[in-house]
Amino acid sequence: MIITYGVSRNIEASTIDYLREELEDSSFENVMVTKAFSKITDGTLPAVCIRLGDTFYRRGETGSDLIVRKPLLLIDIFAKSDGQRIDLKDFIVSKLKSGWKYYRMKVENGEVTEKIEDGRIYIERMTDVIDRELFVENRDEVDPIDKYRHLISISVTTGKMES
Amino acid sequence: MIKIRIVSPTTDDLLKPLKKLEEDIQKSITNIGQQGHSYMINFINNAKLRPGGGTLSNSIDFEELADGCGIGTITKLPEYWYVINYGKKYSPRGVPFIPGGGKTVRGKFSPGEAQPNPGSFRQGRFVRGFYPMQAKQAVPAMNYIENTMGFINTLIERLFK
Repeated sequence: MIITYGVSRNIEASTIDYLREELEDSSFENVMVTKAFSKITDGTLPAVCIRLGDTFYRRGETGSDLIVRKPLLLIDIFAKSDGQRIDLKDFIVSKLKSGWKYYRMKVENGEVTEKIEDGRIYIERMTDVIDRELFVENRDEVDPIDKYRHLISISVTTGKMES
Repeated sequence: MIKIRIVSPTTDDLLKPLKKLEEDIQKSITNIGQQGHSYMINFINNAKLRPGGGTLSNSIDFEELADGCGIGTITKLPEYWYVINYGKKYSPRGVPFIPGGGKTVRGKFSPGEAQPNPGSFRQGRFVRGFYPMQAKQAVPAMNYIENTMGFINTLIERLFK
């Protein structure tokens, strides 16, 4: 069965594909990039989890039904060390700041069968925060997965007006 | 002859519209804060997976401050607020709020099927009881703070447009 991704899934999948390729071409080794939080917590480090949060909309034009969507992208970084956490964070921010390609995708049995470039995804606002272990005094007690984490949240848009 | 008298405005006259503008902005910011407060509570209540509960969403308060407003006083929140927001992996060595500190504990689920089994997944909440259980899966990140910030930023953008 062929599934045609909607705009939200296209944005999410385009971002995952883009960052996966950029990290493969970088000096970072074996960084897993995925959407599923559970895959990361059961897997190996370093890893990046990318998923879509809430979406906000504004009217495209006064008096019109056209809308422009602004979804929130949440990028969780799970690093092996504090230094790697900061480097990964800076690398990802540097790769996202100028925007990246937006693709329309079709998927069959979990495999992408069609991927058509259809504009760009732009950043409207970006914040990154350290995910500190607030209630654990000794960091050695924290599970390795949660030891060095960073969260980047980005408000993005394709700038397209949707009817 | 027409007499013209030029009256120069005082500093107070000049500041009056600015003070009015400041008051209006403060009112709007408070209103946005209140909407953000409701949004965060609704977000948590809609995202929770099991019935009942509500400790976290009920403890999120709203406070008007001299230079803005605040949502959720950290000292009034249950200590697991950050685990729900960021998502964490259960660990026998850490995460102090988890029943048994991540070790095997005796409990059951209520309401619904008391004995833990995949068929009755997410029917009830954990309470002390008979069945030995150990939490193994990670708590998924809800990111209610980041989503509320996204909502608030959208409203602030509209205010200054």
